[in-house]
Amino acid sequence: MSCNGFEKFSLDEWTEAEFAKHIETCESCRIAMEQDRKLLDLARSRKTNITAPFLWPRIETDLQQQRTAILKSDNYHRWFFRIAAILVLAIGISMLWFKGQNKQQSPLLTESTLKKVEQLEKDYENAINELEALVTPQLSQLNQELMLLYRDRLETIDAQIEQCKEALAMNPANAHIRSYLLAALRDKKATLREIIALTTT
Amino acid sequence: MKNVHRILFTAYAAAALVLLAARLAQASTEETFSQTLQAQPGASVIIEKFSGDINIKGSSENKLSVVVVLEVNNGSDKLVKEFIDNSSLSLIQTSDGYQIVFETPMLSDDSSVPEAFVRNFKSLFKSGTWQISSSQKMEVRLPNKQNVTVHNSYGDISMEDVSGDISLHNSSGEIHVRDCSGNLQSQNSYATVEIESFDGPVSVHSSSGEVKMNNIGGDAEISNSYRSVTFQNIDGDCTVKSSSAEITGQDVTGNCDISTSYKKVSIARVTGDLIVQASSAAVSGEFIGGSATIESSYNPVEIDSVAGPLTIKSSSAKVYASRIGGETNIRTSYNPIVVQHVDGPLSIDGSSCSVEARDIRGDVFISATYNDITVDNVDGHLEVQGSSASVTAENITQSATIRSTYNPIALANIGGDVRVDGSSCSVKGEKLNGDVDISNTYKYVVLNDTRGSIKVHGSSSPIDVRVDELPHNAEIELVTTYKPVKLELPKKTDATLEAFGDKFDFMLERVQFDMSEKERAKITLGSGAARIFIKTGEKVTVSQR
Repeated sequence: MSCNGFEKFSLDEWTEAEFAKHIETCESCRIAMEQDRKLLDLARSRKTNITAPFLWPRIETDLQQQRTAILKSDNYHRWFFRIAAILVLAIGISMLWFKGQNKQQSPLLTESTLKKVEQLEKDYENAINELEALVTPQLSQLNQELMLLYRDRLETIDAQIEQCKEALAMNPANAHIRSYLLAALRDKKATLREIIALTTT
Repeated sequence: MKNVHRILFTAYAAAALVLLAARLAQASTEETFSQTLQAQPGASVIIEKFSGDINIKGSSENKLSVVVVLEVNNGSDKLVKEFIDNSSLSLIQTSDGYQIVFETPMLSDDSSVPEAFVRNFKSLFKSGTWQISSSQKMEVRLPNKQNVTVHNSYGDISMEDVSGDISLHNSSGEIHVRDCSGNLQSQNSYATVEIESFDGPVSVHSSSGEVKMNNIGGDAEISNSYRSVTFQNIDGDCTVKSSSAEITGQDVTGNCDISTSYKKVSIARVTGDLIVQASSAAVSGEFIGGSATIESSYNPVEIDSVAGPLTIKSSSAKVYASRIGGETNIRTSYNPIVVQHVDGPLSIDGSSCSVEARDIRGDVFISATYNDITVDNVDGHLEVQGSSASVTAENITQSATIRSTYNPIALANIGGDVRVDGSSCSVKGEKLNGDVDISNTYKYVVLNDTRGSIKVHGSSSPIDVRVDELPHNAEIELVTTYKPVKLELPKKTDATLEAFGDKFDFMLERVQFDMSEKERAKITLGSGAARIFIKTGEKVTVSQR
């Protein structure tokens, strides 16, 4: 990515309004934002796991039958072969597309998606580290009740992040756990931003 | 050419097959485990240590049916096969039902899984070469009447049509219960709990998770931390304990007890009592059948339609209360208080608050400072203890006792006695039907249409009194310094008047004058029954209508 606008936005150096204005003209940041959104949607959309039972076996059987028939008879009209090939191609592409769609809703992430999600988590963690450095000295500026509430809240979120990471160490592609880790990271980022807003107003 | 076409199509077909094969090579492997057996209604089912989505549904059949779909990916074929081969579903009979156990090598502590295999997997974790991920989901069908206990993590639990003692423990997964009955205890973290139509008591503890409840046929207890809580149609008591969650609820047939902070609380239609403890939170409540007790701070409190008594203990919060059926006590500071239509006594403690109280059927006590106090239409006694506050009181059926400083006091249509202590306050009274006792300094005292005894002690205060009716043995005492005193009496007045002043101006009928002393006048009007005493260092004017 040639522009670091998205990174600035992720690290809260830019506000949402500033970033929204920026992506009106910056294609690479707009794509990065879109990708971010899609990944989050992907991680969340684990509930409706649409499956197409026996679809592939049926196709495979059809193909097998067609292939056997072709081998048995050299006299088959070449148009039949063409149509069959086109059908195979069409079904194959459809299948690829369908499986691709299906994979988005699978409870397990593919390797490529997993890498993207892990990168997203890292981006969040970087943003959180930056925000934490700002927040830690400011916490004491809050009144005691509010400070204790936020400290308690951050501890709860940290415990959740820790639990999710532990679970993911053994089950890295589990979309459900990933979605909860992402949710906790987002929650922590939002909480830190809340504290900054409170202490600066 | 024909051959070229054939080769081309063959290539396309082959490419498609290769792509499909590649795609399928990446795909996960799915394995289904299932068991079914006879089960008795009223028995217990326990699901222990599952990790994934669980769907439980009650049915009219006396069968326990369990299906687990395991999905595994990212491993070599051998490893995946070994993983699946070492996963198992067991229905273990207990003293009162069954325990459902699904084990995979990942989380196994069961001796049935070969130890060497588990060790192998664990060593792979440590070496970082572990690539397997798994996910499982469970479908359970059981008799409608069944006690159910679930311990789950990283998956959602949904339950439908089950009646019994239900205990659900989940972490990082939602809980959805629908059309169930019995007794529900739910414990959850970091995800939503939603209960829709449960006939019986419900207890939900959800740390950092949202809670939603609708149609509960028993008491509801909710505790959570900072995610929102919404509830409606609770046929019993409702208790919510939250550290900082927004709480919205309505239609509770029992009592409602809410505690939170910093986020808004909105409660409507509670048959019993409402108690809200919400520091730094805005609170609104309406249509409360019993009493309402609100403790809050810094944000507005709005209460409308409470059948019983109302108590608001707040600080720095605006308060609005309307249509209260019982005794009302309000304490706040620095912000306006508006109270109207109270069917009972009203007490307000509002430091630095402006106060408006209207249509109160009971005694009113107001302590406030620095801002306007307005009271209208009180069916009882009024007492105001203000400091630097202007006071306007109208239509008080019984007595009015007012104390303030530096700001005007205006009273109108007071049915009982009036007592005013107003240092540096101007005092204006109109239609005062009882005795009047006023002390003030520096500002004028103007009284119109009085009907009882009058005592005004001013200091440097001009006094202007117009008596509408003077009772037979009434006493009027108007004393000030440096300022004139003006008294207008009814046409037929029987009184003895003694006046001390610098000048006199008497416009009187039926009188006997004694002007032997320069600065003292003594006059008898009619039979002289009432006693009038005036003293000032300035002009005294007495007239009759």
